[in-house]
Amino acid sequence: MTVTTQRNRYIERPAPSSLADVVDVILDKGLVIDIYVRVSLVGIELLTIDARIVIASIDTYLRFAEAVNRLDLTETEIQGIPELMENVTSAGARGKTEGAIDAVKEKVANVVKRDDEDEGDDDYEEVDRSNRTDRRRPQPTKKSAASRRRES
Amino acid sequence: MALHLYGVVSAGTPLPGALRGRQEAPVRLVVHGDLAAVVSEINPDARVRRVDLLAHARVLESLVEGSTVLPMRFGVIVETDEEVALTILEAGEGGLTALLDSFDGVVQLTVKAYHDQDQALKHLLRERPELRELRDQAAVRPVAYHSQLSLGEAIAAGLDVLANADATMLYEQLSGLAERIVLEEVTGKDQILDAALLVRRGARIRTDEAIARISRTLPDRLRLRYIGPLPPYSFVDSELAGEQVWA
Repeated sequence: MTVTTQRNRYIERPAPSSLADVVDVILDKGLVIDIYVRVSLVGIELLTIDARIVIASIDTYLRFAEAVNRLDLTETEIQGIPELMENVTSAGARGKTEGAIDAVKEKVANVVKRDDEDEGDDDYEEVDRSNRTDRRRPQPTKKSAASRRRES
Repeated sequence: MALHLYGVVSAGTPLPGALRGRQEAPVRLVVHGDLAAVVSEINPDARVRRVDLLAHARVLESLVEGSTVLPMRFGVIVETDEEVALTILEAGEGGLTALLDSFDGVVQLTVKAYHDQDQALKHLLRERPELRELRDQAAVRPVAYHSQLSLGEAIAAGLDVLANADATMLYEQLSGLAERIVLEEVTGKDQILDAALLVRRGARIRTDEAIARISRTLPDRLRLRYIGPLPPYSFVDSELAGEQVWA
């Protein structure tokens, strides 16, 4: 939970926009100019390219399954399964799940690499990745994409 | 050299002292008639970086504290003062004046809402016994890939329903606070709502209080970000969609 929203205050002051907020608005909102004005869009194409990569929903589903398996509902849960049994099977399932996710990640990392032939500017990549991720289609972390690139 | 355009204001608008824009250049006005363009000199060949995006936003945000500003989309570069005056301010005069009038005295405040994923999942499992059952079944089956998959699918669908319900609940609370409200497409991870509120300057404190009240009463799974004041990005956009300003 964030401090700003949970603090016991009577007045909440709005905060300045972050880079993420900025990218959301200033690149596709605001006045545009008609054709008589020279509009410089150098570099903008790179920024506005939707970096969302379509990953099979399978990846998402497995993540959610993993997340709920991990979840501790002790406050409310009625214990139905013997503790030991649960531990053993979920450990087994986790091994398999992670393998599947890794495979998808690898594929995605390859796609990312191909799309990013122009690797000259990390700024663009970071802007895209950190702000344009789709809620339902998580992407590999920046770190994994970067380390993979170094390996190759 | 060339000029980067930030936005358009009324001719008499005071600039905050020592306001700097892209590439640290001082921001100034190009005045033509009753209108003025907010510009700064840039080297147009320099690469566009994150600081440039932030500089554009910061200039507009510091202006909107005290004045009505029509934001330009990032990336409009014009060669000279004369070109700014003629091709933008004079050519667009009618539309720009009408827009400035229509946004006189209002600012945009943006509210973004996010799910805390673990809390949302806990809520789902508590409220929906069938999902809990599905999870327990998936846990006892011998390493069943398919049961994990259908569990995940059911959870994803459940989260979507929950996100929509929470977004609707928030939208209803927020829409009472604004002159106008626009919902933007949600893009970020776990984001469930992106609402732009058009609020009278005089009503800002009341809005701040109301937002604080709303965020205090939210369930654990929800958190808000409250951003602004901003120029009317989301509303200028819809104005333009309806009518070509420079027809």
